[in-house]
Amino acid sequence: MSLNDLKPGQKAVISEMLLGQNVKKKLMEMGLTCGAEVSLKQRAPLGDPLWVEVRGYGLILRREEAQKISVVLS
Amino acid sequence: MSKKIRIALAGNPNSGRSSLFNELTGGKQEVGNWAGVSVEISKGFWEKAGGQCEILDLPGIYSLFPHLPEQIDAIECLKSLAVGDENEANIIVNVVDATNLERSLYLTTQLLEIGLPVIVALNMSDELQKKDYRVDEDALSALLGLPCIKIAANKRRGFEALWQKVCEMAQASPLIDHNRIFAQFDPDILQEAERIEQVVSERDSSGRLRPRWVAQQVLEGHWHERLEQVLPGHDTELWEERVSRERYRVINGIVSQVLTRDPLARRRDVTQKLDALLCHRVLALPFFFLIMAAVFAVSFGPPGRFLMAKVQAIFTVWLPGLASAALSALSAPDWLDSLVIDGVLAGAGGLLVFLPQLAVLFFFLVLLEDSGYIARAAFITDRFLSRFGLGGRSFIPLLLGFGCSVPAIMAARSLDNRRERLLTMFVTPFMSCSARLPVYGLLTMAFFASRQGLVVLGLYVAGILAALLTLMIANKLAKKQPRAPFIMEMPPYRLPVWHCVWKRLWIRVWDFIYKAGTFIVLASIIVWLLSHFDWSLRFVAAGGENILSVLGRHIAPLFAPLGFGEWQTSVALFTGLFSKEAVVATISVLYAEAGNMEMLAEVLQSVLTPLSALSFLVFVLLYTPCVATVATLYRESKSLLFTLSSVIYQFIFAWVAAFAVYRIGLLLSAT
Repeated sequence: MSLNDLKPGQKAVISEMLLGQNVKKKLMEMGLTCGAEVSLKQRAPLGDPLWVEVRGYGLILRREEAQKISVVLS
Repeated sequence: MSKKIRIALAGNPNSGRSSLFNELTGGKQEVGNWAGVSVEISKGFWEKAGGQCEILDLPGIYSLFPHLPEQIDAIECLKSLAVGDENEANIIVNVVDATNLERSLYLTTQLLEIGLPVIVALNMSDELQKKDYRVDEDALSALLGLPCIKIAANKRRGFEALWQKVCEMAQASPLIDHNRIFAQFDPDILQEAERIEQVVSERDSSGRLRPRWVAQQVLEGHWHERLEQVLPGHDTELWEERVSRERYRVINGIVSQVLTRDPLARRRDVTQKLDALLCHRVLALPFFFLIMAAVFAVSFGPPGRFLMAKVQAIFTVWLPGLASAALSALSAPDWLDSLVIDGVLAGAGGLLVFLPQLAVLFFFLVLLEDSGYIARAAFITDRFLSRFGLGGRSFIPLLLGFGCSVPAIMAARSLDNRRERLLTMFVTPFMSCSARLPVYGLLTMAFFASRQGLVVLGLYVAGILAALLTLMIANKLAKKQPRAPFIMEMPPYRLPVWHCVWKRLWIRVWDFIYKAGTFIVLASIIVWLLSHFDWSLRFVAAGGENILSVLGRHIAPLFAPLGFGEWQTSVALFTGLFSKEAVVATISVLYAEAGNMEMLAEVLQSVLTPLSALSFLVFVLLYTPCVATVATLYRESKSLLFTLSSVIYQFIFAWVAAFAVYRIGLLLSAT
């Protein structure tokens, strides 16, 4: 399943990131690395973007990117 | 001789670097609670009894790998400091947001590797305590091998300790193990680093940057083309991913040892409660519109108007009375009397009466920025803006555009996609800037007194619609391109620190007063002179043939189809190219009614109809922005073509829109 499939409040661990190099690099610097625990806090009113909690802070990213991040429920 | 001390403030966006910089230097750097406020390196001096040191405030970075143009500046600056010379002691003060320790330490570990002495300034530790967390700074210091000092930048706490540490490190070159964190990485990584390091040392004989650091940079994706042939089989993407993971693994271990939570604490975070409402899936949009509407209602509605009436008295009764009394006591000639009252006081006064409304608007903008709501607004509006080829990040420049286009266009630097950035810059001037407000105030008072607020609100909305229409046209014309990703940190809500709010409010208010007192006074005098002398430089009484009326009549035909072919309004629009505030100042001077709004309104009613006044307002809203904005557009885009097309487009757009308003209005009133 992907990060985009999480329901609000669900926690998961990132297993793979199939993103372009630059986007991936930026997300990794922001703490989204394989093995990191993430939880979906909520979605924006129109369903996109997503607000996830990672490493103790809030990070916003779009559905488009979230779909390419595989996660495993923890 | 003691060394010259230079401090580079480095840290994540929104970590409080600029607040610290301002408090240390007494500077006036813009701050705010969203990532990307500082877009330039600023320089200042920290003066203490024991001496002074130079401080550089670098733009916020999450890592030493740049994604934005201003981040390149920050990293280049760090590199040049690393090269340094012997008479200077260069120190990095890494401002770390204690409430966001894990992510912040990512940069810290990279800064450590550069080879410069680093001091960690743990900022906002007081805020952390409120959340019942505690950071053990001694343990952190021991684990990183760097001095860590707790500070609270906006409460001016911890500065003494920081100063002492800086002096101490500048005096004696401290022994820092720059490989401390890196050495804990996976052995494979260390091996690859050594391999690269060897190649680097052989190739780069200058040896000014630590070869190990260059190797680490290569590992993290700073691919040096010269190394390509000598490092066969080096998979950049693979290594940078591994290094990133390792970095976070080591940091995670550190954080788990230094961050403790009070086990008895069970208080719920205010941020969570507020977000449950303000970012609610259904309620977020109503709240968003409510907040925006409230800001405008208070600024331009009864509260703002009440304040305005108070100030108006000063310029309509007080100062003109005082001035004429003084001038007649000095038995000054008539022309001087006219220059002071019809020129200077009418011009600057016509403008300053709007100061209270502007101050209220600025106050709310500052509050929105400081509280952290602006980042939520970006989150909420992203989906909507992305339909127009922009993203949530564009919302911040666009909102700032309601204050002034110049800082708004600069704020667009935080957009990492050039196309999105240029588009945002292109439409930002359509966000009705505060300098245009006096024009709305004057004309709506004269023509739409009963529905003033509604008309002004309508104009703001019309500006937004013009921007959206422009974006739609731009997207139709340009080739379809993949969307740039939207990745943004969401800050917690923070209570505004009042002394910072007042300071920033004062900077903006003072800027307005200063402009009115210098530029606008000068412009008013020039307009007065040109309108009171003819070509043979003879003084002419009001209403006679003068230089401006002749000039104005030449441009007036351009505006006649829009319903305002008067030479006075044409001249006002022309001076508006220099500064939008000058429009009202010029009208006041040319119709010579010293700050007296009621009489000026009557004169205007005799030359314009409500419909042509509306057309004039639409034109002022949309036409070419002031020279300062055009200069900023050029400086930021570095493209003459972009700047010129923006200037010409807005003029044509304004003309067509005003023409449409006037003609459609005429048709409607005829039937």
